[in-house]
Amino acid sequence: MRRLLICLLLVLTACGTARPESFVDKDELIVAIRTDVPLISFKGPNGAYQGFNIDVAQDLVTRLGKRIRWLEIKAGDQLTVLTERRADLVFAHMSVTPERKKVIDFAGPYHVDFQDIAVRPADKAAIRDVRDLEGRKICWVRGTNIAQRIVDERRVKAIPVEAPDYDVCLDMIKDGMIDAISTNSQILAGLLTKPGVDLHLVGATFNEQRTSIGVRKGDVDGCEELNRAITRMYQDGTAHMLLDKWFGKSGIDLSVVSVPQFEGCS
Amino acid sequence: MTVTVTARRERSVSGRVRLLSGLALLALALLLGAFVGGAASTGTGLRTIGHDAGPQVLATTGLYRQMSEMDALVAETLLLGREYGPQQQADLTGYDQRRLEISESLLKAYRLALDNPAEQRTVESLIEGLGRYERLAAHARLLDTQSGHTAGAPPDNVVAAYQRATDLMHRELLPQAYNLTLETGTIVRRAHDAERSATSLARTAVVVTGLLALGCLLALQVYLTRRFRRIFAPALVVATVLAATGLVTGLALLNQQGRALEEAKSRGFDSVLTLTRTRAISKSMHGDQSRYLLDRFRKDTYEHTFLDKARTIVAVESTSLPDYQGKLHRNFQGLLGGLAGRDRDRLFAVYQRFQQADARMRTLSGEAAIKFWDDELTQAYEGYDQVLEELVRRHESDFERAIDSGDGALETLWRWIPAGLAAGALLILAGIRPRLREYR
Repeated sequence: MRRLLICLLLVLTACGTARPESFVDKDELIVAIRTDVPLISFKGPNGAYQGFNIDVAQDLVTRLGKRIRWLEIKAGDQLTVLTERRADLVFAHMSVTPERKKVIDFAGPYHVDFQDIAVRPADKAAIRDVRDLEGRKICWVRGTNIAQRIVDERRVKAIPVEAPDYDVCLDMIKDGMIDAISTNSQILAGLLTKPGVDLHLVGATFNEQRTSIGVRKGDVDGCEELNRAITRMYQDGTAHMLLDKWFGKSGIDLSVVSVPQFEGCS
Repeated sequence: MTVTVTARRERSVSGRVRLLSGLALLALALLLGAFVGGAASTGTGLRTIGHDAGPQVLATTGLYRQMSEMDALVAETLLLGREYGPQQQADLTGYDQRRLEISESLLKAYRLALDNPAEQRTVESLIEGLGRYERLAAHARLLDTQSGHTAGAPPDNVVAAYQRATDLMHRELLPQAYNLTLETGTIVRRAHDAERSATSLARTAVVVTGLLALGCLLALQVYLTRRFRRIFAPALVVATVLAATGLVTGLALLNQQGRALEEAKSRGFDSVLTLTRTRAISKSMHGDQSRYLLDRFRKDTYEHTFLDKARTIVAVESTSLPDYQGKLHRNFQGLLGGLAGRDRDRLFAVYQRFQQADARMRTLSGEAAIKFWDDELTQAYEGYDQVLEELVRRHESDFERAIDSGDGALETLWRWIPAGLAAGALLILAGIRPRLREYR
């Protein structure tokens, strides 16, 4: 009889299948953001966080029925906050790359736009698309893959000059140390709103940038829930409203708003 | 004094017989319940995968492929000049054919999405978007005919008109169709997970109640043997054998059903999903090649989207398209990374040929490039697509076989297990009746 009981116990414990850990089980999510990107995520005059990413994060997390605790991060920390489990989600205007996919997973994209180039008004005629960057100095913000996309992927021999963030890029282009800043058109549009910045947007839409949400590797449930929320955000017009709110006057062409094609969660 | 003691003992004997046989009957009833529960939950899983989601995935990936083909055909007619008249006509016939298929796929997708409002809204928005696409594509074709250009990139106003159409297709319509497929994958994955834990719970319940029933039957047998000095109560022996057989067969059937479902999910459904997604993306890569030739303003963009898609399907660490094409090797990752053995070799060989042809096309220019694209490149693409299609077919039949085997096991379970257990219960009653009568 005792042996029988032991058998039963073994069978019973074996059936408790362990579900992988997911942020879906939490009530409050730690959302990592940057605070140095105008129009996208920055600190307003009253100290509150503002911007397109902030609004999108708030909308999506609310749709999942959860609260947000913000965590400020610097450029280059997007991956480590997830791998070191300091954040549940990263809204840092990250695009999907095979290298990044090795360490984290991506929900979304929640927005698709293109890479553009900002130059001094004097260079307006000389730099009209990415090929004109040949032999010129461009800004490379540590932790981003933008310079690599021009030099390696497009095979345009530009010279990347390293900088810790975009503010330094702005100083450098003003002082003539670099010739161009290239990144997501949204980030550029934001930089152009800063006081004292006089730059020209080339309008060269060359690389597709799929801006996605970083989630922990293996959190399939959470990733799928976010994708469903993004679908609803586009279907009910919230996405268009938010794009118009932040970029309506920026010079970015919003006549066609791309519906993001999801990366897939497994 | 002796009379009361005997009477009490008699009462306790008949009480024990009743208790033990009652417990045995109860355990048999619970066993039946556990079987029914297990069979029902696996049955639901089979239905979700086999009869709802499977067809839905095929409808939505079909939609993606047909729509990107439609756009590729428009690009092709614009690229081919007036000297390619008959081929242009053939392209237009192909276009109309795709439009017909798209309507069918949309109707099917809508019907299968009946209980999911978000999926329904997506289908509605696709119907609306396709109408807009047709208008823009017709405009580009009209401008193209009016220009009367020879083979090669058409005039800028035609390209601009086509850009509006293809933007709509690639930035709004195709992503929605793709996400629809992914959503179906999500529904299946979740149903499968829920079903798997329900089945393992049911299996545990079957083992527990089955052992309980057997235990009670054995205890009853032993008690009767000791008490009435009979070696066997034949009816009880048969009942015990029936219960044991029922337990073993039922467990085997439940396992077979579970295995069938597992097989249908991983070897059938998942593979079909991955391969059809790959096929859809490859179709759109082929379209990117013609758009690369067509639109000199967006050459870079189309080369980049081509590379992006290539890396999704067959991921190899690389920095640019030529680098990617040079570094292609058998140990790739990506959507097709899960393939093994001969299938992997075969598919890799045709994929590599497709990429090599692409590399060659990008070194050519003008009419030579268009001629090469029309000839060798399209052949290389079709060769690759054919192998993909074959693999999809094979996994589809694996899938159907697994679903049939699961359905078969379910049917056997329904037919035999309840009957066997009911017979066991009757035999228990028949076995204890003579013993209880001795105490009347």
